[in-house]
Amino acid sequence: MTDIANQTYQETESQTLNGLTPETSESTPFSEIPQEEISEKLGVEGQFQPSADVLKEVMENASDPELAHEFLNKWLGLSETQQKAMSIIINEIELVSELVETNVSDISHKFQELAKHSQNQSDQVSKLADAAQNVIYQGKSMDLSQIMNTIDGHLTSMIDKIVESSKHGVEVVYALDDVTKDVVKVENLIGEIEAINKQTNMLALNARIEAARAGTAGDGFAVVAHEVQELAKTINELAWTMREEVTSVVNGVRLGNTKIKEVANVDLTDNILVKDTIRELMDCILNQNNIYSDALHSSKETSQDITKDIYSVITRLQFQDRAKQRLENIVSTLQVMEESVTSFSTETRSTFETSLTGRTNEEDWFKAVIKDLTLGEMRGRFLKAVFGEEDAFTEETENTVPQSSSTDFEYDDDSIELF
Amino acid sequence: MKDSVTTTDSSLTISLSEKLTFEDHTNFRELLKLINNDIHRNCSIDLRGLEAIDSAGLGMLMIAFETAEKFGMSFNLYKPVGQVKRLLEISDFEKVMSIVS
Repeated sequence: MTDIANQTYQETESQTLNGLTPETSESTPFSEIPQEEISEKLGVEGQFQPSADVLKEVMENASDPELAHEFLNKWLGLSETQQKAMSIIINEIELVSELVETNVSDISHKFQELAKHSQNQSDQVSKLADAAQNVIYQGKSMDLSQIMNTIDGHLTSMIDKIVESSKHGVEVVYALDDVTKDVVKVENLIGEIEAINKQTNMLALNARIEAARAGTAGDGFAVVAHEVQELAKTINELAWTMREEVTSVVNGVRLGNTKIKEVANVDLTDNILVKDTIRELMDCILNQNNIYSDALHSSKETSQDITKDIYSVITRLQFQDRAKQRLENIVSTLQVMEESVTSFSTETRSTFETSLTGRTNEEDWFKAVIKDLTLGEMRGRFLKAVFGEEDAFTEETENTVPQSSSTDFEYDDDSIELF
Repeated sequence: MKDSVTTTDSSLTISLSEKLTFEDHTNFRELLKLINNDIHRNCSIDLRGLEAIDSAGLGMLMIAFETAEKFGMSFNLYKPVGQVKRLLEISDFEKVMSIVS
């Protein structure tokens, strides 16, 4: 685009200076015209200084006053067009500055919102990571290792009780075995009592027989023998009762022994081995939880990095302040230049009064200026500022914009406007 | 359960093999009678040949320990293996008595 622009500018300058240098090649730019040639045409010597006195001197001493007058008139026309152009450039710069400021402010605001959301996300992830490690139980916060230790403690206590119960079970069986043996001894003793009682009864019966043989002399002995026999009968009844009672006790002990053996025979090793299973399951849960926790911590760090990056971007967006200040300085400089050109035009017009109209056709020069403006809306404002209308000239200039120029931009005019 | 007993002047070693379950409680009581005296100072129950044990068996080993302790004998379980070793570990027997690995 730069080459095309330079070429266009050179052509425009050549057209503008046609009156001055009719013999000069059309492609020769103004800057390349020798100073001597300009001085010669204007009839002055040395460096050209565009002040009122010099211009007056030029007009008075020029070998061809009409030519100098025409040149000065053109120059004044160009000056007026440039004033308008500078004015609109100042406006455009202010517009751009405002546009940048508004949009950067919006972007900065959006980034601040983004940073807040990112920070919130980081906080939420952090809470989630803590929650993954801790459980609230009965109002108290416990981490998983504490839970594991608690469960392990309960299981150990349960297993202690199983072993203790098993031990007591065996001890009770041993005790009941002893009782059963003792009861058998009692049964045997009752049997011995019964045997003795039977002999006693036989002795009493024999005594009564012998007493009967003795006649009257044996009556007393017969009474004693009868009493002994009755006593033996009573003892026999007592022994029988004891046997019944002991048998009942023996049956109870044997039943109890059987039942306790059934209880003691229940194998609780599976219940003991449950501790192993639960421990392995808890290890799996803990391991999985650690994986989740690591992922959450990593996510938290990433969120924090994103937040930090966003704040860094917000800080960088403050470049807009510096850009604005520079644009303000450029505007100030352009305003001074515009005022200088205006002042010089006014002074020139005042010096030569009505002999200079300043109304020359500078359309070609201005076409060259706006030719490379890719924004139609901006181009319109330029035309309106200089010529007071835009439509007709806009169509013309749009047709003259080289198609290749759009390829030199990342975005063409329509794309930028849509964006 | 099968058992064999070896003694020295001061030590009593009872070797158990196969399985120790509640069914063995009567035979085990005869072995307890060997501990229940003042002849030996040390008692060791060799578990190298014992393949399995149930909760009643654990209870019987605990009774053997308490009996030895009652008579002031030192007591240990010698080289348990397999399921027996695992059950003794889970039940924290090493916190109560000496287990020689």
